[in-house]
Amino acid sequence: MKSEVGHLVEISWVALGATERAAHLPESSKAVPVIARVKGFAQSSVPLGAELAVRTFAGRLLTGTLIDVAPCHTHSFGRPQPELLIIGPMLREELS
Amino acid sequence: MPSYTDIIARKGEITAKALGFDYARYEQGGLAFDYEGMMNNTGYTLDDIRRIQLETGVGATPLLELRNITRLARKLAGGGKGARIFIKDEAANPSGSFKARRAAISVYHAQQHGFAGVVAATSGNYGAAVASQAAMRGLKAIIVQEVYDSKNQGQPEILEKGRACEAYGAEVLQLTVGPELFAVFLQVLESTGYFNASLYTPYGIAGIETLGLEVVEGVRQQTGRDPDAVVITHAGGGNVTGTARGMKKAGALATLVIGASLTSRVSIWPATMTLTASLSPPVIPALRCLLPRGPIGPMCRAMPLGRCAT
Repeated sequence: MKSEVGHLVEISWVALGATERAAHLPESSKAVPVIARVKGFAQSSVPLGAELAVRTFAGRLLTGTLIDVAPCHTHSFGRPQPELLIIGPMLREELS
Repeated sequence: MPSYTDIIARKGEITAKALGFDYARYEQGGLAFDYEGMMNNTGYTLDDIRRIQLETGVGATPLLELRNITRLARKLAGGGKGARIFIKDEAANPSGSFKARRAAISVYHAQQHGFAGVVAATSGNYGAAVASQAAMRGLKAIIVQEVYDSKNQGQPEILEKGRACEAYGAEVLQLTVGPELFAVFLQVLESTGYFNASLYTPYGIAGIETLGLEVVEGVRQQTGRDPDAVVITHAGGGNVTGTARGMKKAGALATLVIGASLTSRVSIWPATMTLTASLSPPVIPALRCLLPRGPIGPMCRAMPLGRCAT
């Protein structure tokens, strides 16, 4: 997969290395860097994993590693919770 | 970017430049802080704020009477108890939350003072509010979020807010979790010269005052009297503070202000909790008794209702 000039992509970079982080962090946090991600329009055509500059929605030119092309939203809010589904009918019964 | 310690050491200087004033001015002897003085120096009266908010469709949200919930309360509370319950439908604001009230004043102020854009560090509704207000006023917006764990798993609620921010045209800078969010936020302010549209500036608080004013005006209009009690969700404190200030300015001095805090354990119940806490205090135990009948009993007993009426 490669970026195409002018198409929406996602890049990431190390905002602060593991040794540059704030003091008094838990050990597990101290071991990893702070990673930043942003979406923007590709300024050149490069393969995944290569360095790339993007123009963000705010117009900033930022550089990082190409991690996705035409990024999509994949988050979800999970399955229905049975505990929540009983509330409406229960209260309706009280009102009937 | 500059090192964490370097940028945090300069936070006062960066914030003052990106806000147009210095918090240090209101510090009194190391411990006290002149909050009233800071709020008075925003330069905006309540009338100004209402006018500014209406320019972008913020505020004047419906005050709806919850007739079914009132009936429930009266049935369960016992004789002589059960107030008429109303809800202020703040989801009717642009971007879908009361946070538009806060963002409206910050973004207006940034526009008036010639800033080209605004920056906010937020993982919630406030980001969408800033992005929406900035879009209407033709300013750039950058939202800095703390969203991913070290395995690149993002929190769905935060990802959803990021999606909304991008839909409004904002750049969303997503970070892995950690206190360094603030350092990255400062670095973005410094490198762009944009306005600090943080939730916690006096402009953010002042924007909430119209909510208190509208609640009092709406209740007076519909019932001919002041509300007995107003229940306000309480997280950081800005909503309670701003609403109470607005109610005071509206002259509702005898109205009880109740901050309703949620613990993370019951945060999946925002609507129910709001309704529960919206009942006047003597009614709360009654509705509480209603809930433990189902499988949610243990969760309900963990509700911090005792803390609501303060």
